[in-house]
Order: sequence, then C-alpha cells, then structure tokens
Amino acid sequence: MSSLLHALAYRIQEVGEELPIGQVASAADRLRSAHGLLAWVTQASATVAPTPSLTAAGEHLDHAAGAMLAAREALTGYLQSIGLPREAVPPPDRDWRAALAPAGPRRTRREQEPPKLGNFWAEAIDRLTDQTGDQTGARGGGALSSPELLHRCARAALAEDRGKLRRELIGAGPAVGLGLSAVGAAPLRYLAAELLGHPPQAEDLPEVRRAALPRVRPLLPAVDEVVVDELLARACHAPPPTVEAPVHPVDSAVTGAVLVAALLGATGRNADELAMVIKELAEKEKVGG
Amino acid sequence: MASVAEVKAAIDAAMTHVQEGQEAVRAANEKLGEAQISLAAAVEGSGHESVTSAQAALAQAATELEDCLTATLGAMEQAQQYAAAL
Repeated sequence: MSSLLHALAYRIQEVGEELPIGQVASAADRLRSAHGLLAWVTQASATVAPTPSLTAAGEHLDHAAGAMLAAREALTGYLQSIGLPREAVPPPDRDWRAALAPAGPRRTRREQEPPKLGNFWAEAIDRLTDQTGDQTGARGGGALSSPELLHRCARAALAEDRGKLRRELIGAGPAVGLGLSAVGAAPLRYLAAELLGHPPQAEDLPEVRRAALPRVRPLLPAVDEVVVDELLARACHAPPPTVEAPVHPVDSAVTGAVLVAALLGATGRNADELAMVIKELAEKEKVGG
Repeated sequence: MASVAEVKAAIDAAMTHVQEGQEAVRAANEKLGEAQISLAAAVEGSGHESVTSAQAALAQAATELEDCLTATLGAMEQAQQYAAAL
C-alpha cells in the first residue's frame, strides 16, 4: 500500500478513534445521577410545582453518541472501500475503557458557609448501617471531596468495619456524600469489567451481583436490595428493576460506594488501588475518546 | 415527607451533577469540532458517500450536544425556581 494511502488511512483512523464518545458517556453518567436525585425530589416533596426534568438532555446525549458511532462506522466503511486491508482498520468500540472515564475533576466544596441541613444525612446513614451513636463523624475531620470519601469508605468497607464506614459517611456530610453517586459510577463499571474480563453486559448482571451482594449486606444491613439491583443494572447496561418509588438519594450514594468496595474486594484489590483506578480513568479522559 | 432542608440538599447535589455533565459536554463538543476540522482536511476533494455520511453524522452529533446544553440550562433554571418555592 502506498505511503500516501497509509498516511490518509492513519489520519482518518485517528479521527474515528478520538471522537469523544467516552466524554459523552461520562456526561450521561452525571445527568443520570442528577435525574435520580430529582426523581426522588418529585416523590418526596410536598411542593406541587413541576420539578425540573433532564429527560430531553439525556436523549440529546444518546443521539449524539449514536451519531458519533455512525460516523465512526462510516469512516471504517470508507477505509475499506478504498482498499485498506481489514486488519488496518481499527476494531469497533475500542473506547469502552474511555467510556468509563469520569467527567473530570470533582468540584471542591464551595467556599461559603454551608447551609444548616439538619441531621437527615446522619439519620439515613444510621438507618442504612443499622447503628446509632455520636453523629460528629470521623476523627481528624471528614472527607473534603467525594473521591476522597469514596476512598475512605472503600478502606472501611474492605476492613469490614461498619462503625468506621458510618463515621466517615457522617463526617463528610451530605454535600460531599451525595456526590458519591457520580464519582462511584465509572469505577463500578471498570471493576465489573475487571471481574468479568470484558465490558459488562446485561447478561453479566447475575454474576456481578453474586460477587457484590454478600459483601454489601454486612456493611449496610438495612439497604433495600432494589438499590443494589438498580446500581448494578446501570453498571451492566441492563434494564433497571421496576420500583414503586424512586430510590432515596442517600441510599443510592452510600450503596454505590460500598459496591465499589465490594468489587475491589472481589477483584483482589485494596483501597489504595482504587485511587490508581480513578487516576487511570481520569488520564484516559484527558487523552480523550 | 422529606424536610425542606433534605429536598434542597438533593436539588443542590443534582445541580452539581448537571454542572459537571455540562463541563463534559462542552469538552466533548470541543473535541468534536477538532475532529470535524481534521476530517475535512484529510478528505478534502472526496465526494465518497461514506465520507459525506460521516461528516453529516458529526454535524448531527454537534447539534445534539448543543441541544443537550440548552436543555440542561433550562433544567437548572427550573431547579432554582423550584427550590425558591420550597
């Protein structure tokens, strides 16, 4: 094959590989987390005003991802039509790892006096962990960011220390704690893929569930299994379970963190390796795709 | 029924997620623009059907990302109004 054709093929291949499908998937993760919170607000609030909806935004993201995949396929078809050997054309969907990348660095806590939120957060943590006690939180101060809280929760969960898990969650507070929903989604999918040896699909849900659930129950004895099922279904791109009411956002955030720890344990990793997983996902996000 | 504080905290957290989603969409749109320019330069002069399809699909993707951002801005405005009404 001539060097000119090689150069053309390389440039077109590069365009297809660098399409930001992974970033769109990350954005969709964030909107799904927000949608879950707003669904709970609709159900839990006494206000009759219409709640904001993110359905349209999510649909636009789905269409954008579909269009980019169609573009990539069209480019593959073009390269084949100009006589490029099959092995020179990239295999489809090599960016599944990039699609696991988070949206970007987590916002730090806002530099303002935090609102007085009451103790609903601590009460929810006590309910989930089936514990009561001092509600001041972890010694030495709570986590200041959701990724840091995820790491601390993973350490406590892997040590099977329910008390420590409770203290870390309470100490972080709701503003940081509710962010666990978003920062946990990408590592959960990544670890499910590591467990299975391939990107998780709907048919893998039972295997991932078998690996995760026994590790969740001792730490969150009061969690409703439908919360676990919903989060794992999302990770495996499976249809979500039918629920009577939207999952409470605290339940979703906390269970997500414990599920990450469960799959860390199931794949033979420790909490410090979670930091490496998150760093790898962030670097793939920067590289793009 | 949840307390007002609890509902406001949930709305606040939701809007943080939306803002992060917006950042990802803006970054994706920027990369998409670069891809469109690179592709145009690489295939300049080609009228091949597949090339035309790819370019049309990328243009469609860019429109969808813009529409997504518009929709999220609307949702954020609604959220502010909703929280204020609590």
